[in-house]
Formats: sequence, structure tokens, C-alpha cells
Amino acid sequence: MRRGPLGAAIGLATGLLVLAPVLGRGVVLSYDMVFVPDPPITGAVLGTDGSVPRAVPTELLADLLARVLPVAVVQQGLLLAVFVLAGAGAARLVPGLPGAAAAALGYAWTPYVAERLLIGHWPFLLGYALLPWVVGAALAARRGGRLPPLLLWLAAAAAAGATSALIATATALCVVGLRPVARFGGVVGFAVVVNLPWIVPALVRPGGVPADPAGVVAFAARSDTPLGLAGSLLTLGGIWNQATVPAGRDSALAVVALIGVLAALVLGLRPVLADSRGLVAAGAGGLVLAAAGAVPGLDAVMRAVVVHVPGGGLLRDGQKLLAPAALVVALAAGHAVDRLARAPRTAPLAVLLAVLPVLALPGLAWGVGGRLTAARYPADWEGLRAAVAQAPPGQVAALPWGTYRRLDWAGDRVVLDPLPRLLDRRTLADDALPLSGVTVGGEDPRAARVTAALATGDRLPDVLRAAGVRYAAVHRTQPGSAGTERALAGLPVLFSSRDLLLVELPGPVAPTPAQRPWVAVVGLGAAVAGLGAGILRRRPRLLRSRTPDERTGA
Amino acid sequence: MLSDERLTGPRDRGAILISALVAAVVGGLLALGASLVLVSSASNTNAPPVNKPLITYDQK
Repeated sequence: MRRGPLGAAIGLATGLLVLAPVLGRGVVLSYDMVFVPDPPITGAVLGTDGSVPRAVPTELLADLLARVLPVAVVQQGLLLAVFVLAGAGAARLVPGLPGAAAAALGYAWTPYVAERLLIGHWPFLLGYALLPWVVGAALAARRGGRLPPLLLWLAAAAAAGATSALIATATALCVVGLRPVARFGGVVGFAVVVNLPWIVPALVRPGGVPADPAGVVAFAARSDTPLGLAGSLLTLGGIWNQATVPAGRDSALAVVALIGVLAALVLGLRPVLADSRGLVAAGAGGLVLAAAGAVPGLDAVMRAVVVHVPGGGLLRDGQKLLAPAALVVALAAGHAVDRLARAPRTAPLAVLLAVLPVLALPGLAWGVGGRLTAARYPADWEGLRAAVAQAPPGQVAALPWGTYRRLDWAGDRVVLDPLPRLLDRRTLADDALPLSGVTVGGEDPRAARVTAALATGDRLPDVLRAAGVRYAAVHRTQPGSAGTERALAGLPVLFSSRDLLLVELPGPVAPTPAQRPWVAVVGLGAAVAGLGAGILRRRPRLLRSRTPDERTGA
Repeated sequence: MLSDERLTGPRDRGAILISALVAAVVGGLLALGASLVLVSSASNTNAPPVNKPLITYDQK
């Protein structure tokens, strides 16, 4: 068996072990992971409505897939693809079969995957899964291979969103190196072009993309083990949100994980360094950046970057920058396993090291210890959508005013309000991030004005009209629902069920900012054109390294 | 291929591969069992809340 298919098989097996409880049972709603049936293509996923282009272009691609497949199939296919791509990609980077198997398991089965899966960062997990493919293509390009495969993988990472693209591009540049400058510049230029679908909306957004400095502290990496911050990050955990830490991380299993990482690095880092010092540098750099928000002194630097540098907000959730380090550890583990497997005497140790990721993190199995659950939207959600569709034009507000919901039919888990993704209308929603003890401000100034007005006691209908809202869609079973319904009492009801209510706000409403279709045309059009040019154009002699024979003219 | 091939004989390789696969299956079953134990213990202690508190991003 070849290494890639072996890694894919291991990735598939791990993916099935993790996702088995949810497969075929509806959509998974968990924190920021929100999928809705028959999602409309809204301005938010195109980047034309002036919102921060977080969903661009990843959710656009998922929504397009959901036009031809049931949304649950799309979601579960994407989540399974994370494991398969991660396993296959990592396996291809290690020479021996045993090591390839170990690298596949070591990269697909990490606290990092568990925590990002629970918090619902699925686009970013796709980027994580694409990273070994980017690195493989970058290594090949550095060794004189063709550049288009690297460009193709960078384009795929761009499709997985801004953070994925940033990490993939930075890692690729570390691997290919600065020389020849034409190749380095070509990679940078191509990366910019294929990321234009989110860069353009971010650049032309009125007011830019503001970042609340409170987010640097709130979203800094944290210890999720008894090993402290350094040990937590070294063992590839340390997410800021303690609620998304898989079971077992706070136990002695963390020590087992640390022993595994250290053994992998001691026995297997040298061949990884020999393959690419740039990759190891990217891993080390990612580790430092991941810790930076929580280290006195460095946190001030990180705060300055997040607040003042355009795009710096991508760094505030520092732990996600561990992705290259996770790849380095997995590859080192693979090389270590290859080395141990060569002698029959140490073969049992090879087996132990290969399966250690699973033994140290059993909490990832079975829906991350039962915390991922699947559900089907009740029929009244479709009823609400139909009522909005039939109503005259006008903006909708998602109420009660708050960012997260607990939906009893979806396991009562914390989840971003699905209404803005469900309704084929511009939907005004709170975008602040409430945490225990602090609220990290959002980016939508209109939402901030609503929050401020409600805090001063203004009447809800007046506040909404001033924000350009014509309809109020109300969750009736959330904290604050009763007060919201009282504030809207007497207004014309367009839809009503046990859980949902839609009312109209008669009278004049403020105008809403117009959509800007040209943003999507420019961004997506340039990216597609750039992708075609980068892949099809043949300039191998200019962009690849010259071989020793070419340098000497032999 | 990123490093030199330094493999053992075909028989050793087969044995190592089989033991790795067996270990992976055993490890997976162990993980499954442990997670089921964790799930059942968690469900015993976390009764559904009667009154929903303000929902924050860092709640479980």
C-alpha cells in the first residue's frame, strides 16, 4: 500500500470514529458552526453587504454545494474531508509506511482538532487539513519541481478562509525560501490574488475591520492541562475557551501526551529539519505567536498588532497558529516511528508511539465525548423563512438581542444564532462576543448602536426602526425572549409558533446601506482569473530553482 | 519521498504494518470505551438547566 492511501484510510477511520454519532442524523450546531437547510446566497457570504468577510468564500462554496446536496451531507462530508485530507497529507511527507501511518494519526488526532471542532471552526480545520499538502508542494517546488501544484494548494487554502490562507501562505514561504526572489514574489503575488474574495470586502468596508483590544486577552491561549500554558501548547491544545476542551485534558493523560511529543521530537526532528528547516521555523514561529497573547510583554505587542495592523485581528485567537507546529510534531513522530520500526527489538515502541495520540486523547472519539450532536431543524423554521420571503422588502432583526442561542431541539448547546444564515434578507444581529466577565465588541457599527440604545432604555421598536429594521424575528425560548415579546406586543404578527415569532414594524424606517455587488465581482473574478493564470501559465524555468547542472551549464 | 528510504526487509515491514494496524484498532477501541465512560459520567452530572442563564461564548 502507498503512503497517501494508507494515510487517507487512517484519516477516514479516525473521522468515522469521531463523527459516527452524528453521521446521517442531521446537522451539527456547535458554537460558531452553523449550517442551515437550503442556505440562501446572501450578501454576507459574497462579501457585498459591508459585514466583515469571515464567511467569504468558504461559506459561499458550502452554500453552493448545499444547492445540489442536502446540507447535512455537505457538512458531514466537509468534516470527514478534514480527517481524510489531514491523514493523507501528513502520511505523504514521511518515507516509511509505519511512519506514514503514525504521521497520519498524529496529525488527525490532536487536541487542536478536538477543540477547533467543538468550537465550530470548520473552515479553519479544512485549512489545517490542507497544510501538509501545501508543505509537500512547497518542498517539491523548492527542489526544482513545478510551481503550479503549490499554487493550486494555496488557492484551496484561500478557499478555506482568511486564517487558513494566512497560515498556509506563511508556511509555504518559509519552506520555499527567499531565493530565487522571483519564485518567492510569485508565490506572494499569487496568494494575494486568490485571497482577493475576502481582501477586497475587508479593504473597502466602511470603517475598516475594527478589533476590540479586549479580544487579545480574552482569546489568548490558555492552559488546558495541568502542564501550564507551555505544556498545553506543546501538546497541541491550549484553546482560550475552556468549554471546548475535550475530556481528559485536565488529567494525567496530558503527561502521556507530553511524553509522546517529546519522544517524537527527540527521535524524529532531525529528518524533518533535514527535509525543511523552513517548516520547523514556521512551527516554532507559530508556537511563539500562539503563546504571545498570554505572555507578559509579548501581549502588548500582540495587542498593538491586532488593533493597529490591517488584518492583525486574524492573530488574536493565537492558539490556531499552532497548525504548523502540529504538522512538525506529526512528521517527527512519523520519522521516529520509522526509526524504531527498523529494529524488531524496538518495534513495540514504534507501535506504542504511533498510537499514543489516541491513547492520550480518548475524549476526541465519539463526537468529542458526546459533545457533538446532530439535529434537524423543526418545521417552523421553514415556516418563518417562508413568511419572511412573502413579506415586502425590508431588513430583519434577530432577537432577543444577543449573539448566541441554546436550541433545545439541538442539544441545548451554545451556538451562533442561525437566523441570519437562514433568511434570504439582510439580517441585523448582535455581533458582540459575550464572555463570562467581559464582552468583546463586534465590528458592525449599526449593531453597536442598537446595543447602546437598548442599554439606555430606548423603546425596542424605535431602536430597530432607527437601525433600518422592518421585521423582527424572535426566538421565544431564549433568555430575554419574554421582555422582547412584551416590547413588541401589539405589532402585526406575520408568523407565530412555539419557538419563533415574526412581527412587522410599521412606520418609517431608516435606510439600510446598499449592497455592493461589484465587491464580489472584483474579488471573486480576480481570484478565478489569477488561479487560471497561475495554474495554466508555463514559466517553470523562471520560477523554479535551477538544478546544479543548470547552474554549471552542464 | 522526502528522505532516503531506509526500510527493513519485506517480512519485517509486513509484521510492523500488521502490528501497527492491530495497535491502531485496539487503541481506537480503548478510546471509544473511555469516551463512552466519560460521556456517561458527564451526562449524570450535568442536568439540563431549568432556567436558561445569559448565553455566553465560553459556556459549555
